[in-house]
Amino acid sequence: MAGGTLDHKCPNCDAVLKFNPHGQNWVCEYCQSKFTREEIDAQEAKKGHVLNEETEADKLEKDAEGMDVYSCPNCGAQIVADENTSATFCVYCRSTAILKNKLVGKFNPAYVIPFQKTKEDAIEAFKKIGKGRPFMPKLFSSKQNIEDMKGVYIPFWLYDFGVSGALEADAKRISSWTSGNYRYTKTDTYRAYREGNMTFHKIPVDGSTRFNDDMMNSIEPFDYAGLQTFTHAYLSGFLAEKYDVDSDAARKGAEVRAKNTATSMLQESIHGYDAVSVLKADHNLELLKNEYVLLPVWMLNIQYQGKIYMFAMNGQTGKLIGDIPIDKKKVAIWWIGITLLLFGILTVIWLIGGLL
Amino acid sequence: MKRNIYVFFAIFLFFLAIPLTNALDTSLKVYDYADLLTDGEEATLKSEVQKYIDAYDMDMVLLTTSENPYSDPYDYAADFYDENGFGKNQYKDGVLFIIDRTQGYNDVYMLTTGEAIRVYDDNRIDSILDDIAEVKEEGYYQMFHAFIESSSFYASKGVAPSNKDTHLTKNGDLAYNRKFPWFPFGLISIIVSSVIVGILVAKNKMVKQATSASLYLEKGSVNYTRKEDRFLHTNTSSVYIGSSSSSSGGSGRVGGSSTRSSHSGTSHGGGGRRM
Repeated sequence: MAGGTLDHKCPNCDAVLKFNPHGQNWVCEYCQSKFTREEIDAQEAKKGHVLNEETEADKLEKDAEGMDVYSCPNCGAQIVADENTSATFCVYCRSTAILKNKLVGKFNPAYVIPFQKTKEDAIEAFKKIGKGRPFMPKLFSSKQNIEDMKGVYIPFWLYDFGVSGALEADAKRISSWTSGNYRYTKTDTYRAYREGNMTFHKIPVDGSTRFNDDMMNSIEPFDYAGLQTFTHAYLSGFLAEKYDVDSDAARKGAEVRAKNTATSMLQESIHGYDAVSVLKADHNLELLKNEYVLLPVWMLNIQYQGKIYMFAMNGQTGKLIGDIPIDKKKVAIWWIGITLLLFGILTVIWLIGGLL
Repeated sequence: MKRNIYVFFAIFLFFLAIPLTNALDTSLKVYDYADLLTDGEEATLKSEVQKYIDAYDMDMVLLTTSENPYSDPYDYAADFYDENGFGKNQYKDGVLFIIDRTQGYNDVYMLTTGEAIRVYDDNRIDSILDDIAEVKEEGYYQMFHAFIESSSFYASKGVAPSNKDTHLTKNGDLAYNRKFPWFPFGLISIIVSSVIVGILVAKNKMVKQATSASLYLEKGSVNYTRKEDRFLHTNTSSVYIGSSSSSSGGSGRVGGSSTRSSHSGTSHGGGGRRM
């Protein structure tokens, strides 16, 4: 264990072990031996790694630009990483370097959802992204445009809330009828009061400023049944980040979402009216639990006509999101085409109507 | 062979029968059953009628009766016109003027058929009847003469302006011309295609901020501690929507001409009054 980095070596041949998303096991790149989570844990215990002990000595030094410098456990070359990177690759021998001091103490994740989708899965998903999207430029989703892709374990905060809420709304019941030459409309107005409480589990908020919050929202949901207790062995073969937004700062985003849903839950319980308008809603949130986890995301950078488009794929479910450029010429052709087609259909119906 | 002879004989009898059933000479045009005109007057009127027919390509029939089995001269006039096959061209274009003495009065009626319905709208028929009423003291000949003159005047002007947007259907009914609805069709097409294209454009935008946490709400954890609806007030408003009247069946008004169906089902326009 040299220079503050961790690696996982095959007990048979000492080659690097990498996590295999499809098999959910570890495979030796050299002798193809396979290892389960239990075997990896046993191996770790034998080596006596103590992860929860913060040892500043593991970090070798900081370079002039404030980057952390480590030495590769495989070839001894220098590995430079910014302060939020917790797993990376040695640029010389491509072996995984897990930066121990980024994963200890308050940065030790409680759980991790391991990757279930491989790089190939992500490429396949990207090639099919034009399906049902006729306005994508023709060559956008070709494999050649994938400039860069990486599997990243992104730090997330998961929040459990107990919410007690109160809501006031105006509710209207409208009936109308005709009598003689007049149409009558009767509006009965009620004031609806609703109070109630509810529980939210594991609302995710991304804890890294490096990743766009809306993008991280858009790859939800993760299946939390896949949460595993954290072991750094899952990081081998992938990149990982540590949080740079702490739990208190990230919480706000989760609170807003919980409050919105609490409001709509209370509003939905107002039945039997034709119109409901919320006057005010007050919610008290109690933080029940707060966990630091790493969630798997494939990040794809797409280069198209000199511009970079970012895509993200949920590394567990395979949900791929990103904003696709719009081919304005195709939009114009479709718009004119559909307009003319509809006009033609209406004309034919009109002509048939004239014959009958 | 014997059978063929029967068929030939039947066909021969059929053709022989036509002039027998269709006994009325439709070329006479003046049928004075109530005997209100002298033979000389009839002859003069007939030549005037022929001028009208030649000039306007519409038939014209003058009719008097004192034995109308119906209460309305319209019924007698329409049956007379339809059953005897008056009228020119596809739509049996033509006018018929009747003086009905059955009730002991001069019940006059002007019947229009085919294109004549379009030429003589209700206003023109009223004017013609006015012209006839003006000369009613001067005798029946003058009344018929006034009818022919006034009818010719309006026929020379062509289709009545109020009937410009009408045409005759296959059955000879008056109907409005269908105008192609450019504007509403165009508007509908543009709106619907904009909505479709808008939905497809929106599909390319997949990155959205999450505002709801409904995915993370524990099922069954929602516990309502207060559900109370208090009545505040009621308010009733009324809007005048006008009276709804239904139109009677069998007859109608399209453009400027009122029409009704005769016993044979043919549409006729027309108007009449007691003089």
